[in-house]
Amino acid sequence: MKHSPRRLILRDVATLFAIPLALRPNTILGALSGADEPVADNGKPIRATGSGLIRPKIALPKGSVMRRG
Amino acid sequence: MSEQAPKYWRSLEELSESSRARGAAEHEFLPETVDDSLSAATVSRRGFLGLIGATAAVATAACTSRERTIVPYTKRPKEIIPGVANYYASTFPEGSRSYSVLVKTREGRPIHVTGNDEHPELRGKTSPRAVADIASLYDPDRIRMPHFEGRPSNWAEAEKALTAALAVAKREGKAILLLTSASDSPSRQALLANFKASLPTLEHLSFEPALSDSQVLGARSAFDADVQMRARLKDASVILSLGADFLNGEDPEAIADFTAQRRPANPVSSMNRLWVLEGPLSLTGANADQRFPVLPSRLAALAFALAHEMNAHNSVPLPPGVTLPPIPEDLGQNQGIPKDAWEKLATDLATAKSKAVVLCGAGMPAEAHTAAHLLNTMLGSMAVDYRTSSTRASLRDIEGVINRMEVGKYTAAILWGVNPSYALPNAEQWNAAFAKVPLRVFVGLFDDESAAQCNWVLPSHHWLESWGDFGEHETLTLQQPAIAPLYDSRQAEDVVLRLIKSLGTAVPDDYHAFLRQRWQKELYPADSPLPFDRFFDAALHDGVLHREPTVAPPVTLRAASVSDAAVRSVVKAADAGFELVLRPGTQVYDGRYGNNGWLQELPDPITKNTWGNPLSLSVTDAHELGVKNGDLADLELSGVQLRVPVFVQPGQAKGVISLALGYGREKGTVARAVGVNAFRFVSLDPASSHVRQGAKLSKAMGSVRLAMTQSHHRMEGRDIVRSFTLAEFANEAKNPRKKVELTTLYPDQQFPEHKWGMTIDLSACVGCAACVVSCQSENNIAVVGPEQVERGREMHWIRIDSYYEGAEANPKVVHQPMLCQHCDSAPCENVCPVNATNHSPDGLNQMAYNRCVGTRYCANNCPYKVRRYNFFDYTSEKTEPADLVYNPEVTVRPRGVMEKCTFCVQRIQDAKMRAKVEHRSMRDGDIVPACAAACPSDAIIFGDLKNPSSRASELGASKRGYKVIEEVGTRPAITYLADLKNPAIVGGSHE
Repeated sequence: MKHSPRRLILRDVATLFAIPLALRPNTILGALSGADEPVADNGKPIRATGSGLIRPKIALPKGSVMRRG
Repeated sequence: MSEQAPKYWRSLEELSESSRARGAAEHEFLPETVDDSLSAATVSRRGFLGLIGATAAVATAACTSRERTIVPYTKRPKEIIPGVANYYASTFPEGSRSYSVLVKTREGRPIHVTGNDEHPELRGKTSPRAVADIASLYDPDRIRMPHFEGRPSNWAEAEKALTAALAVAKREGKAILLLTSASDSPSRQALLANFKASLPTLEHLSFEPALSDSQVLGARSAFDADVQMRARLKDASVILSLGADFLNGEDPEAIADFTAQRRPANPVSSMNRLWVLEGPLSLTGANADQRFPVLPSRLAALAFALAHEMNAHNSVPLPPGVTLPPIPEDLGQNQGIPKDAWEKLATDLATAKSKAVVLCGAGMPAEAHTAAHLLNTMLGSMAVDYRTSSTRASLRDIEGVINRMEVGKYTAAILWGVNPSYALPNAEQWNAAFAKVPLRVFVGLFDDESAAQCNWVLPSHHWLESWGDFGEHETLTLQQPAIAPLYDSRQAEDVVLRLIKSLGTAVPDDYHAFLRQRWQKELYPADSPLPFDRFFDAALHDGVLHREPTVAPPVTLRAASVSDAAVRSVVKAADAGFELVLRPGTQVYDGRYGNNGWLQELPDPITKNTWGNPLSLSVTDAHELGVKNGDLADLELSGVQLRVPVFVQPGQAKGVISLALGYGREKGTVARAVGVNAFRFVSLDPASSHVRQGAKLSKAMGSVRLAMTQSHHRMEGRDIVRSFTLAEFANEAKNPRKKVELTTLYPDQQFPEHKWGMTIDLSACVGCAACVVSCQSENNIAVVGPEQVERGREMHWIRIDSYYEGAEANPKVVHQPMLCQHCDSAPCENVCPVNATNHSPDGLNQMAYNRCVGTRYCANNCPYKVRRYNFFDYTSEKTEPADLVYNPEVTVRPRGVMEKCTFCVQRIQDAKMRAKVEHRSMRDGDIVPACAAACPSDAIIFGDLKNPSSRASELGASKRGYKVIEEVGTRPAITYLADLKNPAIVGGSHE
């Protein structure tokens, strides 16, 4: 069965989006949602460690003035 | 090595050439360092096969590593460039002292603290404890949320309870106790004044348990004013220390000023001279040109006798109205000071006049302080200035608080950053009375002994998460957070602000706003062309604000009370028994750093003891009692008894025993049960709370092994340290020792661009160990614990070796920082079977960690004993948050891998990158390794030895320069400059 060039292009573009979404769903969805925290690809939020301890949230201080490295 | 070379020794066993010491020297390593329990066991053929099988199985299992995810930022904060460090200027507070620092952060995590180069007095240097305290930010023991009666709660409930108590107190006129640590923060003082104005029944006391009140009393007696003397050592040519340990690392400015005059380039240069009279050997005593061990209780009498000597024989007039009682001519000789030395001391001071200064140790008796003030007044010393001292609660004041708690005077008590349940001599009495206060609130970092006595335990911010300002004089420093709070904690000042607000006073919402408001009102110049926001931001950026110098308070000597003090001290008879000297722990201070493994494992600069506080006593007393290092002894004083291990300290005065405060904690995962609690011996007598007479010491059954590093990593019988007097230096310069030129079979190393090297000036090094802590923080060096230190397995890449010379009763001491020498013909490189250690094109002896298979051949072949082996996996066991302190630029090393100093190769690479980005060649001073950056005396200079005009090259060419054990042909990249002493008496500097 022959496809029109337009359909072929659409299929390729869809594939281009689908592969990373399938392989790294949380990263892609996290990036698209604009989350502030990094999102891990193992299906768990990055702030939960294997032992179940909550990792302290590392954040920049407010109001401080830094010297650039 | 010349025939007349002095004999140096590192331990009493070595001095007496005991068979154990000889055996240890011959075998180089402690048996425990190299022997595991398995090696001594007899293994049968069958057992051997079993072990091989098990090893294969374990090795296969070990090949699978734990999966860890590295995830990029989905939204990178604009302030962070991954891989590039940011810095925040801030302030490290320690009681009434504060240090301006620069905090290095990577990806939002503070990872290293160094001095703030913008501070005019500290000039980029800071105390070792300031560097090490970054570890407490990530201490897993930190309180993470408010607790009520041991159960998790929240801030709203805590606030409700506190405001209700305050409302009752205000309505019914009941007292509230607020006990805080001392602080030199003007904004905090303003805040507390505001609190007091809002609640007149508030009783605020600031308390520092490790500080004696004798200093305040001595100044009060001399001047009738609450003033504090500050030495300006850059102006001093003759310094007399009466038990003052000003070189112990707490005062980087004093170390820098003192050592600036002790590094002459040629023999005709002059040096300052340091005289020390003290009981226990201190770091200052170890650096003295002339030291005499004396009883601390006789220091005042000796100082008044010196005033008499100067007046009678050197024509230095006494201040008007001051009269001295008849003083025995032989007072000095009775304390072991020879007559010629005594006369020379008086002449030295009288000749130097205004360039002489007399300093008295903070813990020494009040009369000794008064005598020091008299001597400085007689000399017209320009090397001291006076400042108004802040008010601190004395132990008598605390006793008053206990009495009022007993009768139920307080409706609530707030403990803020203090630990009276541990650090009071009458802690049990405190606890019993404290339990009668209905509402007991603790605000602090750790669940310590005092927190256990409180209903409410509230977590406070770490100083790296806090706002503040510090300093009371011409330089103000700012504290700003380098990281957002890790836990559900609050800055204690914020807690106070909310309480003030609940009392109906209008105040800003948080302490940051309060600080800004106060600065705008009181420090922002009215005629400033900058808007306030930019002015404040500039101050935050620099970390300091310079102000007009404050006018020193006028001080006039009170003749009558000085004369009275002289009479009291001269007629005072020494009690029978030992004199016990209590001093703040060099590492853990008053116990607040007890949970810091870096500091616990930092060897004491004098005893080289880690993880504990053995009782130091003199060699003579040890012989008489029949005790040796580690033997247990019973110490008894005023009804208080304690069993302690002893340490025999060369140079300690006979009849004097000393114990460090800050150990023997009952709480804290790391701090618990390390050493003994010496606060129990602190006297309530403010005139001499830290020097006690009448102590009894007797030998007890049993002994313990001390975790000491003094006898580790020996390099016996070789020309390792050199120390000269000025006269000897002149002779040495005229007749220099013949340089060793060894032929070698190996081709010379080629260094196409750079050849990194170092110069270490032993005359400038005071042995404060700031370099050791800084290296530990920068290079992710593991803490191994006391059992491993006992076996000689400590991991420090740089260590301070102390060498003694002369009689054990009063030896001369030379400190020598020892680290990898980055030899051109490195013995370690030749023997590595897998080429894990090799030479870089810029002269570094480098390690490929993942190539190392742990044969330890390199450590065996290193004549400098600077290679460290990971006998256990010290790093991967570290879990969050403790592992957040790691420097991401330095690989952490697993079990079975050798490691050693890299000359901070990450800093070298960073400087190279910067030069490349800026399209320029490397400049001298671009690279400063962590040890050199921390050294308060600039004794360590790093640079390119291929550049003849680099500081390292120029200093290396000094007539004092030599290389350690160059006779074995290693061609080290480090040049040591010989130590110089300036004794007053010919024929020995200490005897």
